[in-house]
Amino acid sequence: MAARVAVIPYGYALAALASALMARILPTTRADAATAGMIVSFAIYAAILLWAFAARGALRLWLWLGGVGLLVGLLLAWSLLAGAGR
Amino acid sequence: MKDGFRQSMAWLHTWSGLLFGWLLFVIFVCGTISYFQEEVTRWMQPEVTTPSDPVAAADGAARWLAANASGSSAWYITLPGDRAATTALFWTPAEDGPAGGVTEMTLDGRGNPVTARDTAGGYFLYRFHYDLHYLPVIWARYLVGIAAMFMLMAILSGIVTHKKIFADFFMLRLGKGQRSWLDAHNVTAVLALPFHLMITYTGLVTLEGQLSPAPVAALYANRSEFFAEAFPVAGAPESQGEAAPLASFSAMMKEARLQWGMDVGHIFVSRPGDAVARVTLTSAPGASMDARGKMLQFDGVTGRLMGEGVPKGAVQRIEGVMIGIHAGRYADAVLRWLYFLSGVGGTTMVVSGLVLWTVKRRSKLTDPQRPHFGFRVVERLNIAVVAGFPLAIAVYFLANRLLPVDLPDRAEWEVDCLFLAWLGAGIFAVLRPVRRGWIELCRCNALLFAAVPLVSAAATARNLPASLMSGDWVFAGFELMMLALAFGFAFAANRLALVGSRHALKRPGKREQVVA
Amino acid sequence: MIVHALLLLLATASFLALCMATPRGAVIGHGLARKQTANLRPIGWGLIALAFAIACAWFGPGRGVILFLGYATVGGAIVVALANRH
Repeated sequence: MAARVAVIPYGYALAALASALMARILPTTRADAATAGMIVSFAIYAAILLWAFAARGALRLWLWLGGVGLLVGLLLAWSLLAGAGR
Repeated sequence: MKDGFRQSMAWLHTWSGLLFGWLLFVIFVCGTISYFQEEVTRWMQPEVTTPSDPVAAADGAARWLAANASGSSAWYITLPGDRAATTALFWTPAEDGPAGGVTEMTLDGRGNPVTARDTAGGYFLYRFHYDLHYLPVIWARYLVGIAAMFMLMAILSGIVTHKKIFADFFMLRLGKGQRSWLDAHNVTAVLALPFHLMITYTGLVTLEGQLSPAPVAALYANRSEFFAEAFPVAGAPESQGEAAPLASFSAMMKEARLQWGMDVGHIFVSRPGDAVARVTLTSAPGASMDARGKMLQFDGVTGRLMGEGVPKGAVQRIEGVMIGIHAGRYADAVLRWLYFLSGVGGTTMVVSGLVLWTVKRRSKLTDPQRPHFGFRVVERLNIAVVAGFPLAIAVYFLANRLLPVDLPDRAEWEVDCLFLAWLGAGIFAVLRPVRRGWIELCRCNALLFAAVPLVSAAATARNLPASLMSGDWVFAGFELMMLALAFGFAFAANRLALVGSRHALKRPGKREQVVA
Repeated sequence: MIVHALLLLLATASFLALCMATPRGAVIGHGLARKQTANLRPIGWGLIALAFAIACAWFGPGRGVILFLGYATVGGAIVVALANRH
């Protein structure tokens, strides 16, 4: 169970990254994009947690979580560095 | 991780529910009362009787502010609606004025300061449901936010674990004894499921700026830049130092009513008394589902309409509606009662879930005479919170009638009485045997709630029969609700006592076991 | 006010029909023949759809949906109480 409980903090960070990424790529006004990111962040977090508690093996779960985290993080970093205008 | 999907979900449901169940109970109780916070406030200020007309109240507020808040650069006026009887004023202090002076005031419908007893009223219970008390608001909101997230997980995992409940819902046979707690939990959870999901998610949305700061951080240099862009407060331009009297609000309010077809709820005046003054009117909270309503801006001196508040984006409007649906300020009387009933359902769900945790484990205890420490903690906390917090609320209402009207810091004293009573109930719950503790606190609650209308009749000029005769449904409704709660707690106490004595009869000599 | 009463009636009636369509719900309509209960399910769903349509038409889609859900909750509670009155 510890491997799953550890998803509680990690999942929050992942949801934060994902909602930030979403806010950056949405083609609306800045205020709307940021608001959409905030609203959806809780759904993302809930989905991550449910998925973590539903997944079969702890190793596979964390490989997935790590992979998705890396991908989202890289995309966000790229978006922040490339889109200096926003 | 060999345990299957369902067990994993059941684990998540049990522990996410238990860990924050007590906090959720308090949030649910106060949140449910908050649907009637204006009515509670009116009961707690029995001296205020004048019904108010928004236009007269607005002009009265302008007169009072011009006389008493000179030099202020911004006035915020919350007008009485259909439900509240008073006007709330807030203003920024004058730059050259004394620091730390009063910057808020409550006026009656004629524009005179309210001389009623000092009370935080229903507003305290409303704020308590997300700001808690005695601890910094920031921490409290994190705590409430985490509890709401756990609640969301408890709901979602509950749905996943018990998919069959929906198909077999009408097959539910309400059981007796231990099963009845499970049934109560299932029934209240399933019946008001749309409400539970809505209230939890939109509750998170109301705190989103603090709980989920990443999207704003990813787009803006700082938070104030975001707020300036998302909620542009239409202030007046820089002053040229030229004074001019403020135009009357009544013409502006007439214009706003004409444009919206709704009442005005808030007035914001930027640079009152200056030639550049601007007046912004916002629609009444009862008028639209969007919590932020509609806006119109006027020239403060000529009263000429200058335009609408800056139009908001589609997502921001969705956000406003989500917050609006949570708070239910738009709801008329019927819908308000439906909200209230759903809130009661949610409260029952939390209570039955908490009790269920102990009921399920009691039969599996290795030594029922001496349950392990964790079990005892949960058992006592259940009593202290589920029976103790309602007791504290009854005491809050009683304190409103019993504390001397001219007591300094009276409003804080009322709140302190609430928490002192809760502390007392908590200590009582720890000291008494578990079953006795439940029964005695329930009886105590019945007495205290029944006492509220009686004490009120003795301490004020109003009483329940008179309120009923004159059709004063705010007062009569409040006091009838107190009596209903008293009956409810008396009924619960009797049921608990009955179940206990039946156990004792069936299994003589094992009474201690039941009690423990 | 009449619309409110109608919505509550429809919500209760629809759940009553759905409840009576279940083997256990037969408690309420114990005199009914099997042929009669076969129609209850579509009748129940039809009444729910009707209540939803009336709520949305009368109160607008926003308030209508909320009111409909509120009455569905209360109607369901009434039916559960009826089915367990013994």
